[in-house]
Amino acid sequence: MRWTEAFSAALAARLLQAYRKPLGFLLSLVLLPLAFVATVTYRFSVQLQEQQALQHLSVTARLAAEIVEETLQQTIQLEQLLSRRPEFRAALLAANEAALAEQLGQALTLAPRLSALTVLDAEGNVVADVVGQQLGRAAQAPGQTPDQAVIPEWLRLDGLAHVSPVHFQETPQPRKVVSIYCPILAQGRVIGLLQAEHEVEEIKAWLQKIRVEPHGFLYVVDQAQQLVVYPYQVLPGRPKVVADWPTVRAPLTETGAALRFEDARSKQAWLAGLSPVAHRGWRVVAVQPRAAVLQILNRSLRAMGLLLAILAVVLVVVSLWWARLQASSLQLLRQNTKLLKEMQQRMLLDRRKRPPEPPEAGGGP
Amino acid sequence: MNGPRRRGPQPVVLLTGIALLLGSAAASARERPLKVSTHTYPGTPVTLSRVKASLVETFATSTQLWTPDGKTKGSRVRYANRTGLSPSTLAVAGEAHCTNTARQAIAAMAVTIAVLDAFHQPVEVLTVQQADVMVSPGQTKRVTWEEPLRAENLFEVAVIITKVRFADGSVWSAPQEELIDIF
Repeated sequence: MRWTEAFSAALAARLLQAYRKPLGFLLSLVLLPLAFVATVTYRFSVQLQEQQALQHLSVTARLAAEIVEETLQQTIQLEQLLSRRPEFRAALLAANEAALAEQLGQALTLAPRLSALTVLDAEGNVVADVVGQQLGRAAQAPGQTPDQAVIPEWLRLDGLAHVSPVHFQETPQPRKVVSIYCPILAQGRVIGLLQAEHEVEEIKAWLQKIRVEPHGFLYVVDQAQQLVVYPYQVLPGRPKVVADWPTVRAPLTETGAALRFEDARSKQAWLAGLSPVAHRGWRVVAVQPRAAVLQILNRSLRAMGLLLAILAVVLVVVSLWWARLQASSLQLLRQNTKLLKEMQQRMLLDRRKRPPEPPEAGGGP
Repeated sequence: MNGPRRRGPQPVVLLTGIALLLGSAAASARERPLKVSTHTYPGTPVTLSRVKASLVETFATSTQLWTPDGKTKGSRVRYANRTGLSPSTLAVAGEAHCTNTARQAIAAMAVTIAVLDAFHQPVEVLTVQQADVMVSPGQTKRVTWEEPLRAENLFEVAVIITKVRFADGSVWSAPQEELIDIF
């Protein structure tokens, strides 16, 4: 136990020494530890807030991806229902444009969100085309060959419905569209394709209900790394390829992903949640500026920091006043001690100076 | 003695004034400053600065503002009960200082003005050609424009340089892909 006693004594001596310098005492034992604790608390809170924000963004992106997939799936199911009707297949085999157009028109009234329905034969030529009223273009004439670049070969081979990358139509007015292709099968072979067209504005409308607050937003990227939906478009044009964006380069699993990145243009820090749209190769990205995420936290911690600073100032002032009081008491004690010493010395001197007292008179024969 | 009092010139002057007032066309206009942003395609040889824009509403008749039976603001149906009045025309006016950052002199440029609504969506796109500007390398020139508008529900405008013709005849054009903000 001797070392603990020695440690206690040494600590007491140090404290006493430090106590004589009140400002240094306060700084080392009160203010610096307070600042350290505040910094650690802030860093921990920021980390926690960012993690929560990333989780929220991931959930938001997943929700949006499910909405997109569900709506695409509804269109695919409609196309499959239509393409499996015997009269539809018979009309296609007979190249009966009027019968096909009638059936397409009926389907279009059931699905007003589609802008056009087109039937193509096995060679990719238009057999029938019906456009919705909101569309500004005229129906394509039978025999017309649409853009073959958007009908890849695998569509004819695997027999499954596919969603195309977004493509741009310049006439009659510039617009971005997405096509959903459903093969029409008869006796195990592909006899044609049913193409349903969605305008990108329609896809944007599906996602408008989802908000990322504050200052966040959602966007959708297709399998060709092109922007499908983006809320801040300034000038319309061909779909922008964004393969170099960190949110598009980031690997994506079935459960999604989350990441922090810095915007190359403004050097601002962002948080992002990513989610795939089923197996289509599309991805939905929910982004939010880091500064917006930490806005509320910074505001509350700033208020707390201000209060702590005021408290620290009050503490310093009170401590200095108390130290001054103690110092004046010590000064008084010192003076009294000095006076006492002087008095004792004077008494001693007086005793030495005083002549010896004569012996007492009287008492002879 | 005392003959009938002669009328002064006041009624004549008043009638003339009213006639002139009614006859004058486009005598009044209203201007509102707009929020402006500038955007640049990669490789644009011109930078924009000190850009301003405003919405100018020009009234067809001078009495349009103070017709007692009509409303001048806050109503979508402005002219249904005001027979004989023409609707006002809208235009976007603005200016920008263009600095040539290329090594060649610029002979002409095309300024595209995208009119955006309150939800960041383009509602109208206007292209203004500034011919014979002759901007030397490093030099800055002020360009102005005033273009008629069809859309009324505009919130802000974006100004972008989309074509530049150099003095040697070569032309730089902005890529055809969509232009986006934020990223």
